[in-house]
Amino acid sequence: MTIRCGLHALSNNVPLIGLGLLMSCVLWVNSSYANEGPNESVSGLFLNPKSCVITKRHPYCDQKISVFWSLEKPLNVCLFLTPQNKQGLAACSSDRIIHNTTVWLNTQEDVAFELRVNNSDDVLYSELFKVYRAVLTRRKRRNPWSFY
Amino acid sequence: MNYYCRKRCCFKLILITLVVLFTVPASRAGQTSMEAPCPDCVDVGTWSFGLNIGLGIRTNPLHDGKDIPLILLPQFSYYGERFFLENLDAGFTLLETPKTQINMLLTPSYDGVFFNRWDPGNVLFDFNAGGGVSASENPQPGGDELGTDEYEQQTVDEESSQGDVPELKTRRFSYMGGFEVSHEVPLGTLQLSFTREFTGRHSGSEARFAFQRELSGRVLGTVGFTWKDQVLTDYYYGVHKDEVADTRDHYKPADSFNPFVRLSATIGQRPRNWRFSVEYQKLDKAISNSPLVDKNHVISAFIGKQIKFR
Repeated sequence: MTIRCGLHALSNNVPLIGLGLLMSCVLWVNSSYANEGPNESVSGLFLNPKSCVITKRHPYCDQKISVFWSLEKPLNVCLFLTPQNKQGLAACSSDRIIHNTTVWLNTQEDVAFELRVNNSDDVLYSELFKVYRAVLTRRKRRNPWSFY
Repeated sequence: MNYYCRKRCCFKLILITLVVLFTVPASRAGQTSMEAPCPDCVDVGTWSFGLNIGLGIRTNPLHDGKDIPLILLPQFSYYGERFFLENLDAGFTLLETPKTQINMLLTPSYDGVFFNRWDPGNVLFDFNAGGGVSASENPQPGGDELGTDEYEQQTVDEESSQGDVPELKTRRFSYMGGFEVSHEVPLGTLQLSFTREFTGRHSGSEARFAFQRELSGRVLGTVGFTWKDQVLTDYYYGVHKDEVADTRDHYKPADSFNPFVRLSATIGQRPRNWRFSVEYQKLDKAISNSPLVDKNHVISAFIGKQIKFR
């Protein structure tokens, strides 16, 4: 998935402003998801943030993710990530309704977070951490002089 | 008609065309930005390739100069955050605002296309050429026609002077470097560039100007000119003393002012649409009076399919 953050909107020639605009795009994407924060009264799996934006200069999403899950009843569950690591196991909780943990991601691809019941393949909840690729755009050169 | 009077006539031609362009109602002028915030934007860091396939011609004003066929016109471009490459032009954007762009620019001097069939500026392949040379690489002063009175004496009797007349030097492809400014005004787009040759051929200078306006949804009208300083004009169209047996036959032109008018249209939707362009360029008498030249204009026309691969 791509996000277009236009450098052509620059009102002057300062590259820092372009970086600022890009960061604004990143913050906008993250904040739009961050506002959907975890709600302990609702069962489910919640990530914060739920996405990040990679650029040519920052080609990896190196991100700390706060993970929260809330169950309808106490269960032994484990959090699996795909395709983040080969083991897939990120964290477990025993006989609890709610649980908080932190996961570090270093990825260029989407990562699926799956909460599974221990010793089974049953997926209770799943969430996708999205990695967006920022595509900068700029105004094309105007060349009315040229015949071509 | 003296030199300055001729210049005034050229300005008049441009003024008249500008008036015509301004008085034709523009169907979408000033609305484009409402329909699409940036219709002429490109992704940074990506290449674009395209090909124009069709039939076209560029007339060659040189004596015995064969017209240049326009059959395949490849197009490519690359845009970085500042750097850009567009066919034979390369540049670096110094300033970019929604309406104005200032670039440092490297661009070829297109006069070479008339002297060298495979000049990169011709940017085409001719299926029927078979490697032949169509443009006159070494046109003889005066060609096969008698010139005007003032140049009648320059006409060389080829049979009697074949051994006496030195070969004309090759007018080579050259590259210019400089700056260009483009600016959007309510009525269209203005572009002005000033460049100087830096590849060691002649060190001449050139100014290019164009004003382009959308006349209807898919038709663009353009007027402009190319001004070449005396050095550049002399390099390509002068006949130098070491190129003629009698030094009185040499020709040293002044600077030249060459206005043009163009109509172009695009029909259909990308990535495959039809393209039509016709351009008339009036050559300054400093050029058309040259013994190497027998026409006072260049006509370029092309109709064909425009294919964008990426």
